[in-house]
Amino acid sequence: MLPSGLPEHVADEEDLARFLTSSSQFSALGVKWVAFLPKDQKKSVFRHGAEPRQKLIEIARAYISSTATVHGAGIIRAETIRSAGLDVIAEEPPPRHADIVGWPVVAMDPELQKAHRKERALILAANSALVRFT
Amino acid sequence: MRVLPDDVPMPELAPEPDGAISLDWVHSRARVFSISAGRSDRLAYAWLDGTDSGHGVARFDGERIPPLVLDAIREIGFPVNASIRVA
Repeated sequence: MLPSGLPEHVADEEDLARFLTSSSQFSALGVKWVAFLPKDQKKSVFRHGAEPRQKLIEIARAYISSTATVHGAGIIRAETIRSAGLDVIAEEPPPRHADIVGWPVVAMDPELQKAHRKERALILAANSALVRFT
Repeated sequence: MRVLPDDVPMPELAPEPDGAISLDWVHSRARVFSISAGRSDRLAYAWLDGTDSGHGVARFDGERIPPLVLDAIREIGFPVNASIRVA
């Protein structure tokens, strides 16, 4: 059991929140793929679903940089991440934090690596739900 | 952007985490074509069409978008209410 009280293994049926800190990460259609594209080898998420909404907002306020405006969150099921050939692992602290890992690596061809990761991020975005805070 | 043919709608633009700019043609959430424009002369692109998806890299000489990429944009990424550019 982790300090947060959550189990170490992220279950397939768990909902995860990717907080959106830029208006370019979503549109009227939903979450954009750039919200899920990692800069390095992992993408940060929190183990919480869309409800209760107030708790989700509290997590964002507590653990996302105070300099960032959190516009909302993309909610995605762990099973969806794994179906896309990625994985999600618990990574505390902070409480409820997890990382999306397993992003494709093509060491000799950074553009090809980028293209491969874009494809994965497109799949995640298409299967996530947008929750707006404002 | 300036080398896109006139019959191709303007894409949505978004910054990417590595500093590149994303050019996205969004037909719907499940039908998207995206190109990354960075410092390299090679364009990373990926697409989603329902349950099908793919990715690739195409060389860009700064003057002409590779025909394969243009065809893919036209096939997958045309927004329903796209605004066509006028000269």
